[in-house]
Amino acid sequence: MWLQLGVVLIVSLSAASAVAQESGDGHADSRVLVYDDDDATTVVTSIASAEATLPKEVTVGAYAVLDAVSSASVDVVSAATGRWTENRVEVGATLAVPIAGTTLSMGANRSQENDWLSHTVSTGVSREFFERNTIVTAGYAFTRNKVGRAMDPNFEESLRAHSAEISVGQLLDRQTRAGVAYTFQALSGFQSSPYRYVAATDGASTPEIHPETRKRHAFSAFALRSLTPWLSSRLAYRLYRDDWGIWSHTGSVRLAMEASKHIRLALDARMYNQSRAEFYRGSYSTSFTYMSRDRELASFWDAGGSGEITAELGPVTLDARLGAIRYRFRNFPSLPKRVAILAGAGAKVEW
Amino acid sequence: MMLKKNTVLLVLVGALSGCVQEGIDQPEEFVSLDENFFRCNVQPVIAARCSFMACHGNDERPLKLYAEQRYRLGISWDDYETPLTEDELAANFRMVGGFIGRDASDRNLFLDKPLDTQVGGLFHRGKDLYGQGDVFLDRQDVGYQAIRAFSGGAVAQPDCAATEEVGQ
Repeated sequence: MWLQLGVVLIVSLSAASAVAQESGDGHADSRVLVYDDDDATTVVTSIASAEATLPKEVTVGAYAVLDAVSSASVDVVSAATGRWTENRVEVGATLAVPIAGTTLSMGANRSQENDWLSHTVSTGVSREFFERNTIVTAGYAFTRNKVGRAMDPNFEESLRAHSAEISVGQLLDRQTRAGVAYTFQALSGFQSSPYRYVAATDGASTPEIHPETRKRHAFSAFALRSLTPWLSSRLAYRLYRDDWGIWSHTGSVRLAMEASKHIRLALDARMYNQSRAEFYRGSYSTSFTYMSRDRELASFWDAGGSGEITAELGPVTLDARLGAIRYRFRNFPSLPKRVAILAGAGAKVEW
Repeated sequence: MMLKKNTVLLVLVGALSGCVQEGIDQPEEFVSLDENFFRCNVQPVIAARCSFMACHGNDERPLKLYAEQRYRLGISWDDYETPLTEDELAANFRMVGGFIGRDASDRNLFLDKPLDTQVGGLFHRGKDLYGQGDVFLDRQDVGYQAIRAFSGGAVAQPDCAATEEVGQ
């Protein structure tokens, strides 16, 4: 798997730099992120990406992501399975073409793990108005997932997702930019976990069963303001609602500071709160049409913060990040709380 | 301008308060199954094929099944040979009903998991643990046939006699 990622990285970097040497700007990124929580789950994510600008402002990009997951979470232990490890590999490519003042973008990616195969195609348009003070973007993506079950050749389900987003960004004054966005997603197909079972207190036990369709809406807004020549802030809020009955609110704040000519520091804080899906219960008294043990459908909140340092050394930018998140599940009895540590580092080369 | 603001607010509230799917939070009974047929024809299969301590005679399994001389509910270990209690039978009946689900058909988890993948069954760790093939190597297995009849709605008389344990 590491070999695959290395090959993709080398190919994408070579292609991008070869193209860029002939014609224009480009950059290559490499990044490693580590997630580790007290529910015995560790995820190491490696990301490599490259982008180059061709003649006529056409931009091409490619990326590869490798997630290495190791878990003995209550999710699997309660199903009498021990620790498991697996890798997920995602590769993708993007293309952006300016046509008559409008940028048309397209993308495709493929993601695979031992029990999941996913293909996505996406397209979008963006255009600036009013002396480039306003930018409007719209996008659409279609994802087709093949859902499997580890070691089970005869289990196969599918899940399709249509996603659309429209956003508007506006420069309000010399120091302030703000934006709003609306995102919609419609899912249809298998949305349960083939590994989870739900026990009712009357003795019945059944495989988890979720509705086959789901419609999700999200409104978000942000404001970015330069407070002093060396300090800026970003505030963001997101309101989410779906037809499974979940409401959620996400608020975040970021302070970024230029500590010196080459060093930037940033602090992030984020708060999330969600109500439960209507059919989710911490405990079922009897069998219901839909039954779930998915803690992501429970009522919960999380709060987290992180710090980031970035160093610009000529064409090379290095960064490192460290953070923590505390989760509190209000009606998920087998895991009332969880704490996760996040760490990451990356390097970016521009030419 | 006020009208525009109201329109935007109306759209926003409309989209977000959009109806939750109807009937998403309703109790629903599993398929109607016959307790007598279960006691006389399915429980013997469970006892012989499923409820060993290392398999489904174990509290950690999502599917846990009681049987004489094996996994018991509130019975001390030196009384393990006593007949199953009504509570144990009722618990097994409910548990199996949940795995059969809501459709009386010949494809359900309680039938497909112990059936070998070579003949269309689903992955079952029991097969890998013991390396002797899965519980039912084919659909002609008498135990498979008993469960298939049960999930298909077969009924038995209240005075039916339990069959011998089916297979070992």
